[in-house]
Amino acid sequence: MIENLIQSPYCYEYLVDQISVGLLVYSHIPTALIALVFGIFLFSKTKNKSSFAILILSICFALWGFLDLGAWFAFLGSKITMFTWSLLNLLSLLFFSFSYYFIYTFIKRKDLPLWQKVVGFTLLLPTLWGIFTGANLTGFDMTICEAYESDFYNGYATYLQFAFVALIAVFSIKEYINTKDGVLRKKILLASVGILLFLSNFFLTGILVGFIYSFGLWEYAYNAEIYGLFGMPVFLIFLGYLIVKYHEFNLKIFTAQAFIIALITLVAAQFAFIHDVTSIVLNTITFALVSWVGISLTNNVRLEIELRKKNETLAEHLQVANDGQANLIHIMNHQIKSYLSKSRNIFAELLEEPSYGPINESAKPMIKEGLESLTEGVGFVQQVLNGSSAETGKLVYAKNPIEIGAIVTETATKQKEKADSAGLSLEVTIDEGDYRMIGDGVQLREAIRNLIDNSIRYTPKGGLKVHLTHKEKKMLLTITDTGMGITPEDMKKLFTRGGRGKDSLKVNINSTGYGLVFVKGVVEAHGGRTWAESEGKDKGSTFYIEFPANK
Amino acid sequence: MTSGLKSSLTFFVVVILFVVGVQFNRMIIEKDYLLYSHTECDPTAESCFVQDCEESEDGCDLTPYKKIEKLAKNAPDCDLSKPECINLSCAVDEDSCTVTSCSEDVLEEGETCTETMVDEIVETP
Repeated sequence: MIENLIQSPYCYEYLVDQISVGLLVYSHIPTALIALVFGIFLFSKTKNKSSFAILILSICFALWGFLDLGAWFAFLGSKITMFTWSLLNLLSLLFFSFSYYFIYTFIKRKDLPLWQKVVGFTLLLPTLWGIFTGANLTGFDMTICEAYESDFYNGYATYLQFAFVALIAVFSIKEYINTKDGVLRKKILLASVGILLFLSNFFLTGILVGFIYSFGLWEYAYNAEIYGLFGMPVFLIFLGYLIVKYHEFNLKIFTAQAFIIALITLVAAQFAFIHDVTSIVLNTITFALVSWVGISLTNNVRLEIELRKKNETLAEHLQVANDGQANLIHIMNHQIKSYLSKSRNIFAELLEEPSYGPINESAKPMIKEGLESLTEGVGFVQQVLNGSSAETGKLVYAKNPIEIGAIVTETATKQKEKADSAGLSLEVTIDEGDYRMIGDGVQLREAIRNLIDNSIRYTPKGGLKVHLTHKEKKMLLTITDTGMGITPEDMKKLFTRGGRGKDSLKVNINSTGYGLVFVKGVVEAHGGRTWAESEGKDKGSTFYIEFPANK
Repeated sequence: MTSGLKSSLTFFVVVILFVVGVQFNRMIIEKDYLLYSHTECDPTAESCFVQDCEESEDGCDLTPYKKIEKLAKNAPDCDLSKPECINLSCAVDEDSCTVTSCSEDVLEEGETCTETMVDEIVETP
């Protein structure tokens, strides 16, 4: 195919002596195409300043890649070489300047200030002037099949490229240091390292080529030029990572798609430099297989991602529904509690307040029973409310200096009457030590009362032991009973909302299932932890509360 | 696409197309650039360039030549594999066409003048 394009056999022979034509094509065309496709795709999906910068950058780079081939392929005729070569410096400066535009808009999330745009355009004017006047290329040397570049315009372009690289580096470092947000810092690092690797690779290989050329090592100079283009795929990899990991540019692209597209492009590009029939056939089969497998793979991965997203959405809706339900229960319980409290107060007033007149003696037991029932009802509702509030973190705790030893003694003493009436022993031991801490005495008292009360309710015979001690710089309260114990199945749901034991309702019909939720919420709010242990059914239980010492 | 982005993209495309158009016209259509080549030279009649074989590592071509630069539009469309391009010449009153004989001022690396070589041959017994 290439033989049909040869206008200058002399220059063709001159070129193939220096470098592999196929390798030249393979290094230029795939990178140019991948950059172009990526830039157009990105801009089509996300029309913002950053993606616009990448679009222009990729167009200029792709054009540079194609035109550079024209400059290499002097066998196409001197006019083609002169035409393509004359535009290379301008295109390279454009993609350098738009690289800065990209990094600025990506990091700052706003447009470049007008003055910087004016300065940038002004800096390009000498190169434009060189093109329009024809001064950038002085002519074409037929003996070496190359254009003569003006030292001034070539040097100017080189220095300007260096200036852009330095500007991007300094700007990125400054923004990285000034940003506190950890995620944004990572994004800045990825974007700036990617773009700097691309630009500095391009720039340095250009310098290196000139350096090697000046020593007359033509063959090494030609090879070094090719490597300058490989920075672009590296930059695209960094961009791809930003898209996949941080969802930049709002693209729902994933790694598998990007990988497959790149792989297919690279396999297809091999057609540029394989000539024998066997290689062409094998490459065609490879291309077909990679395309088919790749498309299937990306479809499967896409379906998985869609399914996962659906599940996440469902989970969110479920959470919203749960929260709504919890709020409703909370509101209803508040209302119920207020009605019950009002009724209880009426019964209490009737019994205790003489101004309502004497109460019939036969009515007194019923009024007393009503009062007790309502008091229990209010207590029941209050426990549910407290448990729900503690679990959701809505309970407000006071922060006062308290002494756990005193609270334990006081609460246990109050519960002794209940234990005695149930025929149970209640033993309290407090080891010597400092049990002071900062916390809410009222809620902690209620939590400890709850645990002792539970033990009393679920212990048919025997007794309880309440022990407070210091262990490994922590305050440890244990409440051990000889009660019905906790099975392994019940242990799993013990401190959860509504988490009663299977047989607990048989023993305690008024169990709310919120008592231990409340205890857990209060203890954890004070920096502690609570748990239970039991050897199984009818083998008693031990409940623990642990606080950090002297908090 | 916002109007700002649209106008930026349009401006960019217009500038690029304009530059490309100007260069296409200059290089492809008008061929308004200089060609540098070698042309035949008679060392017995004039001072010719010749490769300095002491410095050359590859094979050395001792064919004497003069340097010629002329506008591509005035040159045939060929390369050094074709006879009509091997010995380009300047027509009478041709613009921007120069033929340069060898002298010390215009020597480049790897070149020497045949006059110098003749002098060396004469001086060496």
